[in-house]
Amino acid sequence: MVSDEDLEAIATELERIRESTDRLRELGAETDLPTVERNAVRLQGTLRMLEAQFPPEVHEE
Amino acid sequence: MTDMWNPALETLPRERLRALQLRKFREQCEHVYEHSGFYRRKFDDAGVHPTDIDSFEAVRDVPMTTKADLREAQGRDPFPYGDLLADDPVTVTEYHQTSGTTGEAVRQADSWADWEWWGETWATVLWAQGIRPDDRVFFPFSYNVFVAFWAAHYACERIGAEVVPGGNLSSAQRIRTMDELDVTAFMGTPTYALRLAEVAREEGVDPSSMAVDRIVCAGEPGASIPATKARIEAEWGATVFDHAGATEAGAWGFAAEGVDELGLFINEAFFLAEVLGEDGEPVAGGERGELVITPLDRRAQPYVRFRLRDLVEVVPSPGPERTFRFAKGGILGRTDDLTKVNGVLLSPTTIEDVVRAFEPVTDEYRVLIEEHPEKDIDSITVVVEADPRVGAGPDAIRDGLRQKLKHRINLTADIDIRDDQALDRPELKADRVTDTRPDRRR
Repeated sequence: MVSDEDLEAIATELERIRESTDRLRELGAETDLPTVERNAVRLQGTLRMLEAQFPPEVHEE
Repeated sequence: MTDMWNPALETLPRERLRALQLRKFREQCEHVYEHSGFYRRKFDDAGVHPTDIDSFEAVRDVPMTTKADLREAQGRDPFPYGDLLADDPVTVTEYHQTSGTTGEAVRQADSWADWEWWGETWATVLWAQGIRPDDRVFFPFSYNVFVAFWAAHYACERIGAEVVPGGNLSSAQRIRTMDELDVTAFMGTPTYALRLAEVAREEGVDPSSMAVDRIVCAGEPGASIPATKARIEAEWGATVFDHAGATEAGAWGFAAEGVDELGLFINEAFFLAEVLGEDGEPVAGGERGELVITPLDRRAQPYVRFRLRDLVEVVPSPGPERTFRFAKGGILGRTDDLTKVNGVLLSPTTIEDVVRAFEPVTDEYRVLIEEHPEKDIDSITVVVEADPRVGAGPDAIRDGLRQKLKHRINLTADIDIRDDQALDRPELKADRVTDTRPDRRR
């Protein structure tokens, strides 16, 4: 089974990726680079599911 | 390697799982109320606001959604999804539609985020059934607009398995491809899994000698019907797993490796499953009721308390570690499949279990229910094919099958015996029951 410590570490990493993915999408839009903006949308979709796999009920007391 | 896609969720203690479901259900209701005209009307008409949902009792105040509702909503603007859509149309990346078995097809919009949800929920199914990165999985279908095989295809990629698409090939070509490539697993309806085994033999290949060791079934309840599952496993020398889902609901249920009992775990981390009696109230644990499903993470075209019309008996997890509840025996029928014949409630899955357990006949059959031409009663005819490999005579088939049917369905059926291969073998969902009685034609 996964330890609480590991679950917390996963949640922290997901948060970091969320921030950089959101920023990447903004940058893609601002700079008019479809490859950045469109791929960032896909990353956001993937990330949303990974976040759903580790909701607060799993890693918070 | 773990046998769960995500043990953190699949073994979550029940009270936490229930808290997660209630939170996500409320969030989903807030989302649809905010973004879908269809749901806002439904909620307002029922006098319910999403912020009222603070308990599972309050969940039952939320109006249910039916297929007729969906068709009506999709008749509205904007085309083609109507005001069922709960996201900006520009986010939609996937178009699918229902098979239209029970009427006009419903169009299904999914965004990329929703498509990831499909992949993730299907990966939960396939991982539990032993599909791993070293598998080579064959899909013997042209997927067209039907979502299940696309989603399973995508989930295999997600797992890291190699996918071999097998559309636009004859059944014989499919068998040759599967044999040549040493595919280790394939997906199909139970009917088509049996048909492919027949074709393999016609092609001079013993299906049990092929590399296939797992078959994932969908579309029909057969893989949870003991006699059908046993036939497929005997033909292929492989383990057969059932899965349950629908275009509207997603892949909500799955059989799992290491669980001897026939049935389906309900993926309660991503779906709220209610089992309700005719009065709309929950049935007691283990009692038969209608399954009402809410996919909790779907955004573009969500479903809130969708009436699947599937009948299930849900019991606590049979273990060993998963905490998800279990639909014992899989889907036990559909509310719209059950019909009364001479006052006796008849379930097509029971007939399937009897016929498939009766060795002197092949896997294919049909059921015909008619008004008796002279008497004021209904008649039921079961059409079967004599299996030449067994070689039983017509009297033995007729008497034996009639007796077994009488024992299980409490009706006396006429038995119409045909030659092997006289009946068509459907590739997708099979509808084997024809009811010609007035007002019940199907």
